Amino acid sequence: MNLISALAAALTLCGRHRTLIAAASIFIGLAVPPLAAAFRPHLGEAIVVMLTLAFLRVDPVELRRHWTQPGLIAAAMVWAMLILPAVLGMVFLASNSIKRCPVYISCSCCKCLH
Amino acid sequence: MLVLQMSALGLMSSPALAALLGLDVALTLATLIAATAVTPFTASLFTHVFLGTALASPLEFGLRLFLIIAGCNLSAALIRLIAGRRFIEAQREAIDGLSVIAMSMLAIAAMDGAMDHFRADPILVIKLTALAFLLALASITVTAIVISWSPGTETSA
Repeated sequence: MNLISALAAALTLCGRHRTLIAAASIFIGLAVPPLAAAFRPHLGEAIVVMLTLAFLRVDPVELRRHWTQPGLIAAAMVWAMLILPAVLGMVFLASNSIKRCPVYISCSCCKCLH
Repeated sequence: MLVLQMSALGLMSSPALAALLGLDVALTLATLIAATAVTPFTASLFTHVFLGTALASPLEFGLRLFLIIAGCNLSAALIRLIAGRRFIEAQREAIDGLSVIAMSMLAIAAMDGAMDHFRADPILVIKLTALAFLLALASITVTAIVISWSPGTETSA
């Protein structure tokens, strides 16, 4: 029981210092390449865990409320799914980054989905 | 890969990032679900326009995204049912802690090979990093302006 309490306390501490931990992770990944290589095959699992926790954290009533007033969601969709990709695509084409882009800045969800 | 990055939905991890930054997680999750429905079509469209080649079957891609979202939702519902709503509310910080550990794994893994690329062509890496920061800051600023003018914004305040 003590072990579970200690684990819960450690997780709570991580939760309190979440921004610091997230920022430090980038530098840990750069400083310890073997760790980055070891974690890479588990990107999909990490995303599934994060998404499940997000569903768990959100009140379902609150989530449904957003669907009854979809104006903001629709605006965000058009902006994020159509306008931004079109503009960014043109910027990348203009800077010739599309053909030269190395894999390391690739998006994690694409990596695990393809 | 850049084309996939910009045309894929705004990251499966965006609700976790919203939680990390203290933003509206419910709105982010609702937008993510809506975006999932259109991603197979927009991703195909943009890869076709910018790369001249279409993405793998939109149907297969869409099905995979749907399964991820539905599976995570179902898992969360089961956990909520077993643990109880009150327990989940009480453990909110611990849930954030678990979430940040998963996000750290993702961030560390994303750096795989970065140093090798830097050693091979430091100027290109610096230029691309600057471009990524510039685009991110510009898109965040413009998005904030656009969304603040959009209908229904006051509901999320």
